[in-house]
Amino acid sequence: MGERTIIPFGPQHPVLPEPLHLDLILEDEKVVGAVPSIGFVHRGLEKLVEKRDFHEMMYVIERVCGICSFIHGQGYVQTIEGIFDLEIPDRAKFLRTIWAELSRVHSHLLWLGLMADAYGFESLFMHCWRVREKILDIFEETTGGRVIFSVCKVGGVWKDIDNETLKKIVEVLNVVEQESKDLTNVFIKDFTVQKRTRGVGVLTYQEAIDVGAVGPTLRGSGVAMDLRKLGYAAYGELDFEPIVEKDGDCYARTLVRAREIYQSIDLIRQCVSKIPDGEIDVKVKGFPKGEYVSRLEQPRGQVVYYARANGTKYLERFRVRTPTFANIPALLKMLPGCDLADVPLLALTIDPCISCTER
Amino acid sequence: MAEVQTFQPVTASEIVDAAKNMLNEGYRLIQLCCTKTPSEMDIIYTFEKTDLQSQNFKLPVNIGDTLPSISSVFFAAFLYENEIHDLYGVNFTDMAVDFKGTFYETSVKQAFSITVAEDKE
Repeated sequence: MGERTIIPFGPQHPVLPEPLHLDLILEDEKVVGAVPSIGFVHRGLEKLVEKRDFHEMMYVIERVCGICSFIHGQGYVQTIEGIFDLEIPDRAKFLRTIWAELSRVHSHLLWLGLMADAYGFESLFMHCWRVREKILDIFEETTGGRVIFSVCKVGGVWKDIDNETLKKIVEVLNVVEQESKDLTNVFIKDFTVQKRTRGVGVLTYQEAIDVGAVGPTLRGSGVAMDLRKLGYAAYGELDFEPIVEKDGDCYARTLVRAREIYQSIDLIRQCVSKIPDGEIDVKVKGFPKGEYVSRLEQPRGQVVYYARANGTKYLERFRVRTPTFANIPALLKMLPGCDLADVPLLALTIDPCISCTER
Repeated sequence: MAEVQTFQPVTASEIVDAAKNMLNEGYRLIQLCCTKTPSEMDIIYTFEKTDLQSQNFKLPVNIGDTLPSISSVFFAAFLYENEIHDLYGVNFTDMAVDFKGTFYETSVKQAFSITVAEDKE
């Protein structure tokens, strides 16, 4: 046994610009253990429910994250609608699904770019983000915003997308799909990428379940869990199966995200072909009273919302359990056995978002 | 329509056994959530199966109470328990990793234990 050394990793690191800290316990160059620290920038946004009207709170919750902002807003309103036992119009459900899946495409392209950057593959990074711009342009055209959209509201959505624009979105996605194939082929087939990712950071099927892993981290270990199968929004009317890879290593997690880009594009096509005409919201009367736990599938994985309301315009509690928070124990399972040089890349494969986690 | 949900009451002395039962039935832990209102305070434990079925438990607590950790049953629980300790001032014994109050570097200790209504008074 070599001499043990503790190396601090983060909260500022050239390859991981997120305030996550790991105390890495090393024997020579091998990681044998890790202790995580977060909480450097905890914002306490959840506490604002005591001062913000439950309608206004949607805009605060959207700001939990700059990448999954739409789905945070969707999760919030879905939780409040759960307390009201409110059924929203079908068109609103399909619109939410379209924006959510566009968010997944842009998040996964962003992540692929960051992975390329972590390998030192700068041109691939830029191409991933170039393709992602087309999705942000769709957001801008349909919502007016590229990061924060503010289109969700309790009872439906604020904005409609006309059928002509929906057709245009599909045309843009055809281009995105073709261009993404060129990019994802590099991640799938390139020898140097595989050399860095295959067999690194293995999380077995049972470990992934035991430590509460979520999203592509969970599905990369062969667990076919995807909260969209609950059928919320319009997912109950769409045909899809969770994307699963069995190896549980960094390569498998990359493959899951790459394949989910195409799945999301397919889901949007299904939505455009099935979206009904009609209203996009229902009137909400009164104030919520009760409690509700809502679960959704974000690009990074399962997100859990809990709200408690007492019949006034302010909620008593709103909690967000983010995917990154759930994936930290999984990261601790993956790290032992890897080389020190693999740690930044390995940490990236859970797609960490400390902005979300420090809500 | 909204999913029908129940919040099964549980006590501090029962929570570890309840967690073990959940594990034996194939559930995994997906969250602990502490809630403090002017009238009551409790912790929600949410478990989930791979078929997405979920179950909630509700454990009433007070600031300063000491509860047994369930991190020996569900390793991931240590994150939630440290969070609840730092934000609400509830203590846990035998956590898998105990940050001893340094998990969240907040300027106000146990910031979430103070409700706005109390703050105004």
